[in-house]
Amino acid sequence: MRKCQSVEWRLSAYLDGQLQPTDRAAVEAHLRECPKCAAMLRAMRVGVEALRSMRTTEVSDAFWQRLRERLPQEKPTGWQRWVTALRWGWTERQQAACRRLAAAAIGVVILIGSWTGVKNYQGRVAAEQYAEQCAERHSLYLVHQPFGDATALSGGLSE
Amino acid sequence: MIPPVPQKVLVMDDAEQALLARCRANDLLAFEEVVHRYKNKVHNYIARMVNDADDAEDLTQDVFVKAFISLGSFRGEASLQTWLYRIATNLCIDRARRRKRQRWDTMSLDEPVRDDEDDEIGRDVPDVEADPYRHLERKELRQQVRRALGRLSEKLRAVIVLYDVQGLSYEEIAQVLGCPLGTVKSRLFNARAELAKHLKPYLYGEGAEPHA
Repeated sequence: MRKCQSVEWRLSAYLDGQLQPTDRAAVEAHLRECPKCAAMLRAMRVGVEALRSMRTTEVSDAFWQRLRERLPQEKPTGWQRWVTALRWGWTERQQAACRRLAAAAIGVVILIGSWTGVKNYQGRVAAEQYAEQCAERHSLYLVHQPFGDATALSGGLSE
Repeated sequence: MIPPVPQKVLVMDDAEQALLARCRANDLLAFEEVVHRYKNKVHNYIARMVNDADDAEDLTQDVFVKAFISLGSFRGEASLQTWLYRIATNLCIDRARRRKRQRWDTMSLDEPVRDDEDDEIGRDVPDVEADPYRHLERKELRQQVRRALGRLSEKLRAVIVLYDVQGLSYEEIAQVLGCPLGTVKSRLFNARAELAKHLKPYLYGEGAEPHA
């Protein structure tokens, strides 16, 4: 029984002529003695030969036409093409699109930088103008109300 | 010993690489060439897997539609043929799962099924009243083989069809199924043993002891 199991396991390889000579001889010796394993091999051989003799099937004549009609609807979407490009490299159109995208990105960066610079400049100018105005008003205030400060100063001294 | 199946080791050569690159660039003519090269091989494989001519045509269409959509995810590690067989195998397994769920409550043993030569054949219930020692004619034998194939699990059927019908090597089958070489050999043995087991009653008669 154990021998049958070990031989059965090799019948498939035996059928294909893929056993080493010693293994093949052992299997053949067992097959001469064991009708059960010999019958198994014959049934296996008949089945395999029948499989190999089956006629080859072919698709219908309209196969490509039908397939062609299905393809456009199921073509890769835009993002799938980009994922493909990331994995497999860019097409010329995608390279051109990348160049345009990069140029646009650089333009945006320059624009933002310029706008920020202008804003900062405007801010600095406004602050300077304000400081100048304050200084000017303060000087005018001292000229027109000289005693206010002097009283406060003298009061402070008398104490 | 039966003559061995011609073993082909298919790797992606430069021409196939170029064809694939054209396909990826949405060159429809290149894709048509791929379809033209492999449509009948894929169809023959699926026809043996599902044993239904109409379904085989539809599934073959699905294989190429899926391939067209998935061109971006195909790494090119295997040949196009191996990749297409892999897609076909997955679709056949999915179909089998769906059908098992759908037919669980409705299948009748008396309901006839059509084989791919338009023969009406009954389901696989052995006819114990038949002559146990009759010899099968070739056509009947093919029917029995098809029935036996239908009784195998999808995994076993895929291996035996890829090897004995499609003529792929062990290595290619391992690539198609994504399993080790040893698993391919063991599944091939199991598939052939199952096939032999189903054929024995028809070859030797019900319950008859085989002769040496």
